[in-house]
Amino acid sequence: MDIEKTIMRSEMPQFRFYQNSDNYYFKGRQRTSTLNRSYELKLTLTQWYPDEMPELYVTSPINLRSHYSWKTINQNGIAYSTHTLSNGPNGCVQICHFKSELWDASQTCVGVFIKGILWLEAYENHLLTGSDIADFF
Amino acid sequence: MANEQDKIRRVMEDMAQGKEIGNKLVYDRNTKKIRSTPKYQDPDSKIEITSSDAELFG
Repeated sequence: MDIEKTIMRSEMPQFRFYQNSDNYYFKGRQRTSTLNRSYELKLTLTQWYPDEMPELYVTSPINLRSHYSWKTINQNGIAYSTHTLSNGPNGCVQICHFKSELWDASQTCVGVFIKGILWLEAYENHLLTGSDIADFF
Repeated sequence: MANEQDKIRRVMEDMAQGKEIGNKLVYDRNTKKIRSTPKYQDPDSKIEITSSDAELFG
């Protein structure tokens, strides 16, 4: 974990490490290139990290609207078209960044955040064009 | 002339289709953002984004 914290501080200092009793996570805000909007991403780690895959959430804004005004991305839950898993705390969107059975201890938190940042850019392109988020991956 | 927004979208679409032509994407440590850059530029101060980074599941 110390190595992960060091890499994160050097590569992506906007994401800071937090520990509350047995909960470990990186959290921070990311501004997009597409629409220049700010989102909060949270990467939660279990005590079995790095053997167990961490979970990546968009914690702010909680509700991500869809290109189609009557829907939100949150409503999709587990969906290939949006690359999302079941919603996280308070119903926030969980990004499906990796297949759990393919996850291995060589992956890094920085690598997961790169995927999360790409997901945010794809989400904003979905807002602009109506294309599925999956079309950009 | 394409703006940065269009360039990023085009590179993401190309990567999704398995093409690696034109620009590539990098994570710029200075601006803390994704941006496009010519393919053969020195990646110092940036994290180069590869096609495996753009593989999501779900």
